[in-house]
Amino acid sequence: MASGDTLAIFTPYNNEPPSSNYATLDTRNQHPILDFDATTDEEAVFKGIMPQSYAGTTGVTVYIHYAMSTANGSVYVVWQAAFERVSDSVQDIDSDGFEAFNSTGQVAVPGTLGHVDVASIAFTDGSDMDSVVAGDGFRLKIRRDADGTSADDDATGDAELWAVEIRET
Amino acid sequence: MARGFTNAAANYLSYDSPIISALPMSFSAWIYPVNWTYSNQILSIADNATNTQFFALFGSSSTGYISAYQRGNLAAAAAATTVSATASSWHHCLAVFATNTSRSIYLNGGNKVTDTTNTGTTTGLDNTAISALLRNTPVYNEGDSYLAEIAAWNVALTDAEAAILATGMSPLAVRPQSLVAYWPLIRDTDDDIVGGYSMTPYNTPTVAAHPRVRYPTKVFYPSFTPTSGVTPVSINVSKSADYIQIVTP
Repeated sequence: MASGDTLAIFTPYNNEPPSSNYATLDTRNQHPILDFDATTDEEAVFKGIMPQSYAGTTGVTVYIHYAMSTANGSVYVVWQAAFERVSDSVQDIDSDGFEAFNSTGQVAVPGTLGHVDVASIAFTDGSDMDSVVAGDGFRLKIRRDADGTSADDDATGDAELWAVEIRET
Repeated sequence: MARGFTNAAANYLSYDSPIISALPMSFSAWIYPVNWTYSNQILSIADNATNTQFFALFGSSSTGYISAYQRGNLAAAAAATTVSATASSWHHCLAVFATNTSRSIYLNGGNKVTDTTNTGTTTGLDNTAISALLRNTPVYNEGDSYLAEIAAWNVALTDAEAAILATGMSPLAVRPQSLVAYWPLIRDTDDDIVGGYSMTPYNTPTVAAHPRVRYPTKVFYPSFTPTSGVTPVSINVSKSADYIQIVTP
């Protein structure tokens, strides 16, 4: 597959929420969204099969489409993402096996309330994305780093996830 | 975002017909009790001309026990849990009204209690309500709770199905052929997305954070461009003959 081509798309209804601190389903003008809290790290989990067309050379980039419920102006939100490979005899699904999170760092929120911004997180091929290759099952965890572990998230109110795209880097 | 109801505001949702009027039936819901100062009504089908004809899923004040409460021409009877739906957390409740002589209640997929009192026939049902029991008098629309993912089936769900629902699986994935009504109650949309029995809000219910739910959906995988050197196929779609023809070179 060519660099820049889409590998998978996830929407809020695809979320398989974790048992605690999960992003909550909401709507905004009939758009389904997932609300991520401003103070507690909350997560959403999406499941897929890596398409056979994935070349497995340049890695992938995760694009997070989101809006803010109240924040605009000169404040920042921080997103994180992590992969878990669920392949043939690789992962016991009684437990989680996510690779470490990669982070967007500080992302300036849209200046106009209701506008959707797209934040991106790159993963190099291999261990950075838990060694997911074409044909592997995987889970992708999206987190808002609300407590500022990786960078300072100073945006108030919910971050509203609208969709997620995985694209070949 | 779930729907929030307070005792002070006496808010509730209602539909002016019974969504189901004959047994069996099953009611499912997620409840976040803010407190148990008052009973928390969840879902009911009742006759508002009398006090003695209804089916109700509700939680009792003080104890927080959840009940499947049925009243007919012979008696009133409830199957009530012996464990509480504790305040300030989400719980799944399922009431199964199987016959006039059998009704069961489940809390969080288990804690099943069955009552076999003969209630006789329940007739005259004329309304359906969320966070209220709209019988003649007194009308019960008390309680402080958040409610979400409310659904009703015209069958008696099983122990296994109670357990599935309590994991957070959407009602859409449980016996969908018998699912009569399903109100996700996301934010202030009170629509029934299965049967069209959309609720009317009274006294302005609020919105609250939604419980964890998994919906049966498909992941979208895009098609891809063939690599160079590969000859594309042709796809012919015939609307009149209802066929799709794939033509290889």
